[in-house]
Amino acid sequence: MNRLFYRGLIRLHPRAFRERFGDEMLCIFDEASRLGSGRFIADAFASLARQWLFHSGLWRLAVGAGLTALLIVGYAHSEANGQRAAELRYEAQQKPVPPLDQAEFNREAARAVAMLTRLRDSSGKTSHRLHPLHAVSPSDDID
Amino acid sequence: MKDPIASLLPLSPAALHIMTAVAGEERHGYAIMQEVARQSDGRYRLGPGTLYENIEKLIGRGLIREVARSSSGDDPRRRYYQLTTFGRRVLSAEVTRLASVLRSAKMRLATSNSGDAS
Repeated sequence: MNRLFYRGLIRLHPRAFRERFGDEMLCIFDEASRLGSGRFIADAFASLARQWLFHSGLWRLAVGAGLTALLIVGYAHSEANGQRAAELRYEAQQKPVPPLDQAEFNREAARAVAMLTRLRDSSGKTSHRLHPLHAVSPSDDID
Repeated sequence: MKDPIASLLPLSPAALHIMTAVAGEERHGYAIMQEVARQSDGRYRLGPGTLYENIEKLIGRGLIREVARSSSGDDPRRRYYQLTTFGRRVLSAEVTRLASVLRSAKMRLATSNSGDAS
């Protein structure tokens, strides 16, 4: 039974290899399998995988299939993200805009003006410090 | 131009064992498997699939060759393999390389041992 199975594994090897070494592999199995056929069968499986993957050029097909699968998954993922973004945009458009609160608007505007003023003052000081060659103040340009 | 011997080094463990096994005399596949197990005190065992994959590679590189040998009572499916002249030169270069690695390793171990002792 094990011999039949081993023979089947040999037959699954690429033709050139099988025709050249198949009989010898079976010959060794016949001589040595009395010590235990499990090791021979495991070795035949490993050899089969290596032969088809690395020696027959099938690895190129496997790599190609893997890359294609990655591209498909990436495309599907980006499509799903695009759809979700469109849904969010639609929801944002449908959401009613609350009426403007005049008092709050004034308060926020005053805060923004104060922030811009502080920013302008601090950037003016920084530029003088960073560029000592431009030590001319803006008021000098008036002259 | 690249040295044809240097381009084949280092040899894989399987190639080294198989070439060593057929260096002294021609052997058939099962005898090579037994010799490899003997060389490595049973620690390295090749299966027939792995053995013939390597034999195919070694024949392709011109390191070993198949030889005709028919003796009465021998299984007709058996084929015998032997080291080629080029294979002998490659094996010799590999042995020199390994000897150099061993020498270097021994020296470093000796240095580190004396460092530990002090």
